Order: sequence, then structure tokens, then C-alpha cells
Amino acid sequence: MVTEEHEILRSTVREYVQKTLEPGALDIERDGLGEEIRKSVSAQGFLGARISSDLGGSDLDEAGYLILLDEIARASPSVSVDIMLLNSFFYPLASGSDEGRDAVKRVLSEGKGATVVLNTILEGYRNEGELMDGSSKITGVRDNVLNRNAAMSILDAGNGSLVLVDDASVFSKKDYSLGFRGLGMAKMEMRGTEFRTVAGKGAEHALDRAMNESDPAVSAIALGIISGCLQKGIDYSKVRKTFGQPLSAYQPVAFTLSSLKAEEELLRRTLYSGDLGEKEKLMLKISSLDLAKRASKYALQVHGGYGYFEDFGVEKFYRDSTALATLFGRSVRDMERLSHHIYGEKAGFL
Amino acid sequence: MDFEFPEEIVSFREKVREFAEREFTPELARKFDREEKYPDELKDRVIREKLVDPSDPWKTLVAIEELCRHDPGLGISATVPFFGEEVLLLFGSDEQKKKYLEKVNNGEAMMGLAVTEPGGGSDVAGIKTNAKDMGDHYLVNGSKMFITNGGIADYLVMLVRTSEPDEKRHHGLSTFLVETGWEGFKANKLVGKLGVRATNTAELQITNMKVPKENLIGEEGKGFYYIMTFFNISRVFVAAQGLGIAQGILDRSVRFVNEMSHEDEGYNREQIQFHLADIATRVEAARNLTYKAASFLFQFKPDPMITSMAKAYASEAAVFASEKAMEITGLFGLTSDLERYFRDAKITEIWEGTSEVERLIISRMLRKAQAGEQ
Repeated sequence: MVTEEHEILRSTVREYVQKTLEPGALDIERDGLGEEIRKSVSAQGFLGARISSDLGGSDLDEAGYLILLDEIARASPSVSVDIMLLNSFFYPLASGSDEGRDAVKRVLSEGKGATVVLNTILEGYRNEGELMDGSSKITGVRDNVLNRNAAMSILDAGNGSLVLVDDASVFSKKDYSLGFRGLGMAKMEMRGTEFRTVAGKGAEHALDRAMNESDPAVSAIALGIISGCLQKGIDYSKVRKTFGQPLSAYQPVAFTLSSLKAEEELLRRTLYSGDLGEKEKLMLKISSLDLAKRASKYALQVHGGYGYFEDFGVEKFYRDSTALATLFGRSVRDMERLSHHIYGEKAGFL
Repeated sequence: MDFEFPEEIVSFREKVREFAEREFTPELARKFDREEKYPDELKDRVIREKLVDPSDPWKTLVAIEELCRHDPGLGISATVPFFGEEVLLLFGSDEQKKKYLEKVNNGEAMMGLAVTEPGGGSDVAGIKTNAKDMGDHYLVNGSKMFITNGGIADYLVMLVRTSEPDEKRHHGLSTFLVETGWEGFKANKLVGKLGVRATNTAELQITNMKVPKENLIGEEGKGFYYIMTFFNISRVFVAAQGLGIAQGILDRSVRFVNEMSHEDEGYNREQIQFHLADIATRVEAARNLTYKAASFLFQFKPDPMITSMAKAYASEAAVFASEKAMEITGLFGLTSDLERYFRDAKITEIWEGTSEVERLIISRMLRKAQAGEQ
């Protein structure tokens, strides 16, 4: 449930976004999420939003964390995903060991980025060879890893354990990715790279669990994207005239934007209703990701030629909504999970 | 009814395909996309090998389809040097054709079309760039936006207002053939496009530019009709762009599924198979509509309704395919050539008449036809 304190937090985050993030949002897309922005996010206590205070985090409750992701994604989905990677993936996977907790502390105190290599549990992943797990060194390649400037990475070593690599130089030069250009995607190449084990057997299950538990966070980012692009579409349709009338005077524009906005508001109310079970969280994520793709496509279309240029800040939502769905919303796996909830037994597996 | 092309077109398509497979390497496509640079040399080779022949519209259509199939950015760039010349071909004087078209057709010069303005895209009649009759020349002032080839073209067909509108807003517009080297012409390249980044797009500033009287195309005041006639042509070619993009996405998606199905049984299941079937069905439907629109047009009996249906459907098929391909290919798609197709496809729903404008035309023509029957 959203309380008065949460509303104060929302105002604080919104003010920060408007004053600090929004003016530099285009630079984040062009040049990547620099250390300056990350330090600024960290100084506000946003970087470690969900992390416990003894590790230097802000220890926000879930509603506060979701508000943060939602508000930040309206200006920069890349920054929001950066926070989610640390709080919903790196932190829960690392916090089971002393080495992992130290890593979380360092990431927060230095304002660095962290990543978790999710490739092995994602669809469309082409394995380029298993990693070799020596006593303390690791060799192998992981392709298409999100957050190429991450100071620390957690990955499935291929022998069932999760390991921590504390070496940013393992990332090759930037790959050109469709979405989250602020974070970038890159190949991770390890040649006798030192690692520390953060969790024993069952790496795949641990990654899978982190992915499933991130459903509300992913929904919050999707809703931030929806809000960001629809607001731009609505604002633009009020001022842009064609055939002597504002675009908002035309039924296809006004009705479509209004319908999309209605869907958004219903989903947002569900997200913050506070008593969602696993099934509802999943349903919300699937619906939010689908709406993010439809809303961003239409918002771009409303802008016409201007929407096709980065300066208007709409095209990034179109790219990022698809990237979000691909990286954190597994089209087959999530539908299998949903079907299992609906049928009460395994379904859609043939 | 025969759905087969004559042998000449079939073998021409093969020739274009071989060229594209040889020249449109992923590395080259990536390079021009990232650098937002026009591929001059590639354009020269396309013209040298006579892959785009403005005198043969079927071959032009097939070339656009095949080249966009192999890469939309390079494909559109390589086939766009003649953009707008149809206005001159249909309505220009013999002197104008001789002076300008010979150079364009042999690759010595490039053309473009300057219609859209900062305040108006779909509303063509609302343009504000104006020309004053100064006796032996016109004096032109105004600005143009999102002009393809605007920064690299030698000549532009430009729509301007030559007299105040009467009761009809589209009256009083005229088309000029403008040389971009003239004093008063300035082009600023626009960067940061979502897709088709190998094409050149510019905004134009025109300040006291003198246009000789002999560069008026056709009759003064008829410009709107000339441009609408042109759109009836160019929309068929945009439909071919959409068709080629959708086909290229299908090719890559099927290849990916076939390769992945050896490692992962999930790729043999219905979820993925149905995505492929849905893309393929739209590709075939887009192909039939595009060829039908082209067939009417190339026999000099254009059907604006079919043209608009083809343009809207084929471009939406391309966007649909690009979205489904991302679902099929997952993580792989995000950094593969398919991410470029995803970004490139979207422009086909916007340029040369948005999908919304095409729907307005379709419904208008439907109602006109029904009213005519009564």
C-alpha cells in the first residue's frame, strides 16, 4: 500500500528526475551512463534503494522501491534498469556470502555499476562455450551481457555455482544494442580471470528465482516507460496542429492515447495495491510489458517524423520497451509460468 | 490471372539478389548505420550495374524490394538518388529533362524532393515556403524539414506557395526545380535518427533564393496536384520497401529458428512456429497488394485506394515482423542485424504519408466509389 511517506518519496524522486536526470537523458543515450550520473543517483540514496542499511543501502520497502523505478524510468529507463540490476539481481544473489556482501558495500560506496549475467536463462542465448572453473581462475565467454561498465559481475560459472568477477576489463568494446544504450551490452571475455564463489550448487535455480522475484520491479519500469512516452504523446498532440486543428482534436489520436492511458492507470493501481500474489505479479508484468511496447510505438507515431529523431526523447522508449521485454520478460517461460497458475498444473509444454 | 513475373524480371531479381548478397555485408551495413553516413560508392555501383533503372518501373520496384530485403538502410540509400524525378518526368519541360535528368540517370547528380516543412507533415497544403514573382525570376524564402537527400542532392523538386490560397487551401502551390548550389540555399544534416541512418536527412533554410522562371515545373498553381500524383507513385515504392524489410526479417527469423532448433527443442513448439507463420502470411499479403498497386500504376491507371492499402499494409507488415522477430530471437536479436531492421522498419509507417493518412484516403475513396454508384 502506498502511504503518505511513499508520496513524499515520489515527490522527491520526481524533483530529482526533472532537475537532474531529464536534462541529461539524451547524453545518457548517446554516451552511456557515466560515473557522474551514477554517483549522483548514489548520493540520493537511490542506487542502493532496496539494500539493507548495514551494507550502505537505503532499505526501502517494496512500494518505495517500485515508486523509485517507476519515476526514474519516465526519464531514463537505462538508469532505472541499472538500479534494478543491483537491487533485484546482484544484491539477492551476492548477499549469501561474505565476499558478496563486501562487493555490494563497495559498489555502493564507490557508486559503481553491477551486473548479473542472465544469458543462460534467457531465450535466444547462443552459448559460445562453457566457462572453465579452475580453483580461483575462470576462462570463457559470455555474449550480450547488459551493463558493460559494471565494476562487478555475477555469473553462472557453468559448474552449478555462482561466481563474482571483480574486473571491469573483461568487457570487450561496446556492442550496438537495440535498447538500454545508457548501459550498453557487450561480450564478456575471461582469460584466467580471478573469481570468488558467492553461491554453491544450483546457480540456474538461483538466477531463475531472482528473475521471477523481479516481476514487480520490471512492471514498475515498464509503467515508467509507458508514463514517459504517453505524456510526451499527449503533450505533443495538444500543440501540434495539422489541417488547422491540434492532433488531439482527431479521434484516432485522442481515443488511442486515452485508451492506452486508461490501461496504464489500471495497471499502476494494481502494482501499488500492495497485496499481490505470485500469479498477480506475473500477470501484471506480462500486461505491463505488452502495454509498454504498444504505447511507445503509438507515442512515436503521434510525433511523426520528429518522433523518429532522438532529440524528442520518444524513440528510446520504443527501443527500450522491446529490450525490457526481451531481457526481463521471457516470452515462452513466463507464459509457461502463467499457464501453470491458470491450469493449476503444467500446461503448454508440448 | 498469372502471379508469375516474366523471365526478364525473374532473372533481374536474381542479379539484384546476387549483388546484395555480395555487397551488403553486415559489417558494411553496421558501419554506415553507426556513422550515419551515406554510402556513395555503393550507390555508384548500383547505378553502374544498372540495378535501378528509372525507365523501367517494374525493375525499380523489384530492386527496392530485394535490396531492402538484404539491408533496409543500404537498400533505401542505394535506390534513392532518383527520388522526386518522376515529377520532372511527368510534368517537366523537355529542356528541364535534358538539363537535369540525364545527369541524374547516369549517376552524375542526385535528386530529392522538398515538400515537408517544420510545421506540417501530413498537411501538404499548409506549407509556408513562398515564392514572389520578380519578373524574370522568383524569390523564394522559407524552410523545409526531414528532406531525404537534402544535404547531398544536387537538385530538388521543391513545393512552394506562389499565391495566397483562395477558398481551397491547396490552390496557389507550385513546384520548382532547385539547384542546391544556388545562393540562399542552406542544408543542415539531421542526425540521431532511430533508423535508416545511412540515408541523408536534412532541414533546409531558403533565404532570398533566386529561382529562374524556366525552373518552374509545369504550370504555376498546379504544384499540389503534381505532388499528390507523385505520392501515388512513391507510395508504391515505399510499399516495396516495407515488403522487402518484412521478407528480410522473415528470412533471418526462419534461419535462426532452424539453427536453434538443433540445440533447443523449444524452437520446434507452436509459439515460435505461429510467429513465423504470421509473419509469412503478412509478407505474402503485402506482396500481393504491392504488386497489384504497382500493376495499376505502371499501366498508367493508378488506383489511389489500392496504393494506400499497399503502402499502409506493407509498412505495418514490416513493423509487425520486426516486433515478432524480437520475440523469436530473444537475446540474440538485441545485438544482431535484426535490431537494425527493427529500427529501420518504423519509418515506412511515417514517410510518404503516415498510416493514418493512408486510412483517410482509403475511406474517402470507398465512400466516393459508393456515392458514384448511386
